[in-house]
Amino acid sequence: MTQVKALIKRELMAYFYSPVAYVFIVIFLLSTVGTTFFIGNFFDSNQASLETFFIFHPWLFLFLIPAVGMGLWSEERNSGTIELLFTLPVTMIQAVISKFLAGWIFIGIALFLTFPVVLTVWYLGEPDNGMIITSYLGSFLMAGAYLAITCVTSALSRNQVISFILSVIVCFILVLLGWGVFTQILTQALPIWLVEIISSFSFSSHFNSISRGILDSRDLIFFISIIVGGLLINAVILDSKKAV
Amino acid sequence: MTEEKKGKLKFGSTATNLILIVIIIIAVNVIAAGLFFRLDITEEKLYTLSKGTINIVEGIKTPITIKYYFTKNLEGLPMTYKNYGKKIDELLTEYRNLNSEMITYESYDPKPDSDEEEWAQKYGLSGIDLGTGEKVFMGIVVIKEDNEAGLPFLDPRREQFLEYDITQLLLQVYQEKNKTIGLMSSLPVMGSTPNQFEQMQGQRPQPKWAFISELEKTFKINEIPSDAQDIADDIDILLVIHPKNLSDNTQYAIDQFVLRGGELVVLVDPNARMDQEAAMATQMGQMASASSDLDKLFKHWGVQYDSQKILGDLDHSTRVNAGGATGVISYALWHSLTGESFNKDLIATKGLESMLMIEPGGFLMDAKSPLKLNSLLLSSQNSGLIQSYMTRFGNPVSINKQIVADNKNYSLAGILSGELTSAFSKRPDPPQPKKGEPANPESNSPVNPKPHLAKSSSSTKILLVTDADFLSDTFSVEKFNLLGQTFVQPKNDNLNFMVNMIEFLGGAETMMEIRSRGRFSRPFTRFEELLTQAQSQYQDAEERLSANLKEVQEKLSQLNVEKGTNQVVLTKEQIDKINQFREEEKKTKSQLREIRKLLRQDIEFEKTSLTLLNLLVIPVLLTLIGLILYYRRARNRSR
Repeated sequence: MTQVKALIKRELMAYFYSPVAYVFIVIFLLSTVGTTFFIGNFFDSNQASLETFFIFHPWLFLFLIPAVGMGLWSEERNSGTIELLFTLPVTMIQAVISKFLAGWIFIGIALFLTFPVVLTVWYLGEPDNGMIITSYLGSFLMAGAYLAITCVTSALSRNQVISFILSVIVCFILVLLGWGVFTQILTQALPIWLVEIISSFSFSSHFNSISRGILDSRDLIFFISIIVGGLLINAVILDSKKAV
Repeated sequence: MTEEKKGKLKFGSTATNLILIVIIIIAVNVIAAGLFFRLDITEEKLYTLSKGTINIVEGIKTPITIKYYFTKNLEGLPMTYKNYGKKIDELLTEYRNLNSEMITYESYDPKPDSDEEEWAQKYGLSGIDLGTGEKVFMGIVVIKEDNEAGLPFLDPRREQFLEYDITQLLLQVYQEKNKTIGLMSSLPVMGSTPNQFEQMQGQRPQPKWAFISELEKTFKINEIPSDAQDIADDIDILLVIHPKNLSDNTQYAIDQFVLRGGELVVLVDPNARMDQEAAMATQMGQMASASSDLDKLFKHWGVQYDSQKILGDLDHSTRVNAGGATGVISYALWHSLTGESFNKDLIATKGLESMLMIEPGGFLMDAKSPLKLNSLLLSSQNSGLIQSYMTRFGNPVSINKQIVADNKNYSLAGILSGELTSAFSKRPDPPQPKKGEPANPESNSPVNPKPHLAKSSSSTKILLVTDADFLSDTFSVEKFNLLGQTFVQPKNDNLNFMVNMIEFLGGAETMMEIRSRGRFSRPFTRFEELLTQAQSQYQDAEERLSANLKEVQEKLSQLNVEKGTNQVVLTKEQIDKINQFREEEKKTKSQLREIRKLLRQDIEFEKTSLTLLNLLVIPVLLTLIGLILYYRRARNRSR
């Protein structure tokens, strides 16, 4: 446990020593807040709710999260420090978990720093706080799921760019599966029950469901299973590379 | 490269592990789909259906299909409709989830000229024209094997009643038989189409009253003439509205109806404004009474009600515009009821917030009455009765002064229950046909007169309300036109109260447990505040300027009139005056424009500042922190 904590600290410090972290958070904030006000027409909606804020997250995360995770393993493998990592008294699983958690915490910090929109919406009206809480929770979990996938792609390749692109593609598919327009196209080719099953494996459908203000075990389990599964796959892949 | 290739192609641990993991992920999710739980954390439990709905929906034992037609992808669809339509979809999904065995839920997007649109129209779902030629559909149809009914268009403004409307629709389709209301009314609640003669006398065609339309959703309504001698057996609830001079035979029929277990709702009124007959007669100079009573029955039941007296309540007076010099005053004969006037013990009245009663009567119970009174609407103690004819002579201010408070809480509505005996010793003789009129076979005694009931077999239930006007559309709803369709929006709880009470009597108590859902919409109250602030600030100025403008425009038109008579050429004086006034008009108009701009100025300023704050504060802070840290490290390194 302490090894995990130590590793996490090491990773997090590494983030904040690099100017990249600050640039990333600034971009994160500008894009999430910007889409809310300018594309989401926040004021026009006349609703004291953060719907127009959260609605873009699945699409924004598509690029933001892989940016965080792409270097996690690729960089280490590329620069050879991965060998160093595995000489430390940590198990593969612990390493995998720590890297993931460090990244997840980092994203969590970025998400937390969006609090001014919450203050704004409190100031302007009486939003439904239950919805805000579950939406942030959903966003955080979804980010975790994206990150887990990025960890996998990052472990697959030494090249950060390839890992980024792979991650975007996989995540894109998972978002697309739940997107209204796409599912409509599918219904023309496949039976409805099949389409429903397929779309229930998408990020967007579960995220939309959570952000309505309902804690549904299916949504929580979906994201957690992707995270756990992703980490396991991550470990297996690294293992296989190590063995050679 | 080869490394990775080898890793992937290697059969055995890696590949099988990976596949295993993926399978487990899928399996976990599939299992989760079967055993899920949910927690509704929204503040108003928006996604949790109320107990009443749950009971009703779970009790559905035959297959029912809910079809929802919503043009969600329509171009130019306003945000409010888009959001509301989505919430309706989610709510309907909840219904389906409650009883997925019996309920099928299908949602459709009726694109123009598609099959779906045809079906929607076949079901009677009306699309609303957006003005761009495109139609918005947002309606529901519920279908059972042999029965179907729909909600043609769900107006976002009615969102508080959404759950109620949907459950009611389901109930309507699912229930084999609706209870029947017998309607005996001297007021044109079912609407009226006056003939030519009546039209000449000033009667205008009237639509059905809104509360009747609401009742028709859950009840069958049969009209009963005011001279009926018998109430048919299939009538479950008798609704008597504004009974005027009912014959003994008719009062007997009502008496017997109550004794055999029927539920009676009676609305009497000492001064019904909606009584067109009385109004017309008065116009023609005849003395006519706009009051109603059930004298024989009330006396026997121990109800103290004086049909010639109106109740005035100084604590519940309503601000009305008496026009002219009097302006706005508080009129004690129009009761604005809030909070403490409503009986908190009964579900039907617990949730009421405001009602408006128009020149009602008030009643009390005799100490020796066989019935128990459960009062629903109470006056304050600062109330008293005045003679109705005062309203014809006095003005509102003097009428207010006439009210002498007698420290009693009068009831304006209440439920009387208990065992009763008949108010008649035997069936009264059939009415004799008037001299010169042919014997009317209908007004002869019924072919097989039922045996006289001397007393009730079980506890009776009578709902008594001493006002009839409060139910008319004028005082209960707001009608507005939206793109060609008329929508009805309750102004207060008058309609709610009546429909709730009748459903309560009709045993459809479960409907009342369905609370008004919290609103889905949460507007920017801050901007609304700013707007009202600005309005009060600038309203005076705006009114002054508008009045000014009117004056000037009047003077201008006056001058034009003067000019018109026998003058070909204007004197220099007149020309100067006209120019002067035109200048003033222009100035005043631009000042008005300025004021109106100011009204919105504060709001625009806040919008812009909020946007900037949100976008920049944290990023700027972070950049600063980052730079500081960077400098510190740079300095450290250079040492």
